[in-house]
Amino acid sequence: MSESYVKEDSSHTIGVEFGSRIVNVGGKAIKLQIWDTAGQERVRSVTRSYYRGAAGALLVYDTTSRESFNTLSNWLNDTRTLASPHIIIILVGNKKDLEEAREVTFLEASNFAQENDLIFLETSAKTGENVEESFLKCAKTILAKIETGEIDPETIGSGIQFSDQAIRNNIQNRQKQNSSCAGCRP
Amino acid sequence: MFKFLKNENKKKITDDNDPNDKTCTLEEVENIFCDSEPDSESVSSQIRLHRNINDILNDRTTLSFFIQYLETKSSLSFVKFWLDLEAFKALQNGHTPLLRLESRSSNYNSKAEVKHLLSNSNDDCCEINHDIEDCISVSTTSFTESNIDETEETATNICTDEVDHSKVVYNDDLERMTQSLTDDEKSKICEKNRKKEEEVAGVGDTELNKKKKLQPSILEDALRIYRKYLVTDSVYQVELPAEYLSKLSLALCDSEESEDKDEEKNTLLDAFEDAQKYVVDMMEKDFLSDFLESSFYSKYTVDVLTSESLSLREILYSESALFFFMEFLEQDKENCKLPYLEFWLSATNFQKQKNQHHELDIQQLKSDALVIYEKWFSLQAKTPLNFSNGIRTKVEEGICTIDSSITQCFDLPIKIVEIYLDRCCFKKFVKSQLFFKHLSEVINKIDGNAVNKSNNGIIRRNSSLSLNFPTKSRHRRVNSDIVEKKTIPRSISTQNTLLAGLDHKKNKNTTDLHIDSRQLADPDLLWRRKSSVNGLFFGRVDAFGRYERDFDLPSGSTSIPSSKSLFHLQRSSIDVDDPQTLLELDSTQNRFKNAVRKFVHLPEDSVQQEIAWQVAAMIVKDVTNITMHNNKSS
Repeated sequence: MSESYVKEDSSHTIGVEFGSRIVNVGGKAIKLQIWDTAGQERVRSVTRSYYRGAAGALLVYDTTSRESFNTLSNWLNDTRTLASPHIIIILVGNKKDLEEAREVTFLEASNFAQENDLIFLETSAKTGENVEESFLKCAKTILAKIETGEIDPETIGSGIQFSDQAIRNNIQNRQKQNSSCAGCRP
Repeated sequence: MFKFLKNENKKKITDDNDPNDKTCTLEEVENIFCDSEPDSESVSSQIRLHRNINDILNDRTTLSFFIQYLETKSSLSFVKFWLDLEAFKALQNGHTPLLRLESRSSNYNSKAEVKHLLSNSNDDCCEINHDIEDCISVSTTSFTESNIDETEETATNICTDEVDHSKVVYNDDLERMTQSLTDDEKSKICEKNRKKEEEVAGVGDTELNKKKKLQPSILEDALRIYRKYLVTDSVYQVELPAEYLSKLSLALCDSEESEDKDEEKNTLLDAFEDAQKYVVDMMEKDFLSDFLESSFYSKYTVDVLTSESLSLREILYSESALFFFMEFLEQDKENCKLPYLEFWLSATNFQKQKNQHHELDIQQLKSDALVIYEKWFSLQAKTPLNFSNGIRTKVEEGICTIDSSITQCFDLPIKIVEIYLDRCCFKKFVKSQLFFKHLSEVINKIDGNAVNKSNNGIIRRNSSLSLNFPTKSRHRRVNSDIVEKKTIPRSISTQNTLLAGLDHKKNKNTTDLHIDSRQLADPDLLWRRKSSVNGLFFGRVDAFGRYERDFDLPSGSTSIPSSKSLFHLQRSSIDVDDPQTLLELDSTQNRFKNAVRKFVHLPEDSVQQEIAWQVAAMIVKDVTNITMHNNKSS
């Protein structure tokens, strides 16, 4: 599983990259359209345009880089202002395997997540730990919000599409992975 | 919708006759570029689905939609201010101080230009047109006057008069301007005013008069704009931060006495330019994303998407459509065109960096370019796009430059890919489900999300109240109410038991129905709902032009159309998400229909039909009443 996330080449994202993934939530196959936007500050204004219409976002920082954690609020602000107001944001601290180089504690990040109403996870793209979970969590939360009526998939720009199959259980989520540090790479 | 269907038909026809659709290869497209300069038509079709504030303001069509949108937000003054400043700038730029006489004609040109721009921006903003024209004509007349004065060089008296007159105006304005200034600035302005008065007192100097006389053309315009938008209690007040205001005020004051007209004009223009930029930023921040979600922009999008000249470029440069195109390419696996789009995305994002404000870091750009190169161009590339050697060499050359022209190194492949994708996928995409989905999404947005698909409840978000159907005892009371009102002929009241029995039966197999409490508490709301405003529709035309009936037409129901529509009213306020509920609803509906038919059945009198209608109306009313009481008591 981890290979699917750890790209062998170590090239950085130019602007935005695209991927998709089907996850299974409660018997429903959900297709996630994933837009991986570059995390460098210099391309921030370029990638902004892709935020609109996303149903969920993964905000990724590097647990071994204080700097990447510090810029989170900027990215969060962008996401909140540009995407739909009901966007589900998952805060992801990557590189949890590099415990000795850690600069941001779990507690600090989870406090930040709590203050900003985010779901928080720490992952390791290298070992694959929690990577699938973070996407799953996002999909689950979106589904739950649809069921409670907090999100109306009919609203334009919700980023959610029901598929045209007779059994209406296939939901696509347009989703963005916002990697404020080298993304899901180790 | 009609327009759209027509276009689709045409597209299909042309497509069927087009055997090139699939045979197009990358090589062919490359050849277009290698053989000769590509014909401009195929390469640079204008992009219309832009989503950036400057593009919207500078495109006449989008501007007119934006103006309509701002009108609904009662924030027209921002865009008016912006337009006035554009007109002002256009006029000033057409006016070079050194060639005053000649500038009359150039001035006229720019005026015509601005007028043209404005008249094109739709009838809906005619008010603005009027304002601007007004403004333009004022400035032109004042300008003409000054020219005449100058050539005649005799009218000293008139000059003095006019200077005095304008002095009064200016002083008045300055007073108002100073409201927003600090004491320091105020005293400065006062001092200037005094100086100016002294100068005016020492008339007789024609040179000085001439100088003074020439300024009003600029100044009057500037002051007019200032008075219109920046004075505190103006109707069109645009709130600028104090720093912009004071800068503008100072520029206006300075320009009154400045010796160097060029410089004074420039500071004034600069100050206005800053203010304009600020307003644009404001509009971007406060209105842009809302506008892009609004029905106005959706209308525009539909126009573009259904126009015959729609090209792939429109899709590529509109993010919302791009999502669907991406999905389309992904599903179309055997064609394997996704890498081309991925390259296009990366490369255009790479290009965009040159538009950014900050300094370009060539090293960074180079490493970005290399990433793209290694991914799609290099002979070792994992997902090679199979460009010819010639193109690859050109890209390599482009990457190896040492100046900022490196941002252009992918320009050619980007163009090639655009045409390539356009030729091999676009027609298919336009016919695809996904494109229709996108289009119908946008069309739905125009209706303010009111067009609900037949099975989707309207009121998911509203608080819902579970309604137990009235108990028998309560219903008796209701029935007696009806009798008391004496609105029903006897024949019906004698059969009331039937209705009661019906309701009783209903009671048995109806579970809790979720009914929107707000709708019931105020029956009038039913009619004010957006869906009702559009008429009580029973069906709709879907993306394929087929008529879809929202409700199954019950057999024989033609005899009681009115009661049917009433039922739909009720039904639309019921959360029909749950298919079970739907079934139950249908069965109750049928039972009720049968019951009503009993009234209508025997005598074929139209009066009986009318009565049946009334009964139905009353039942609806009663249910509403009951729930209203429920609501209050609970």
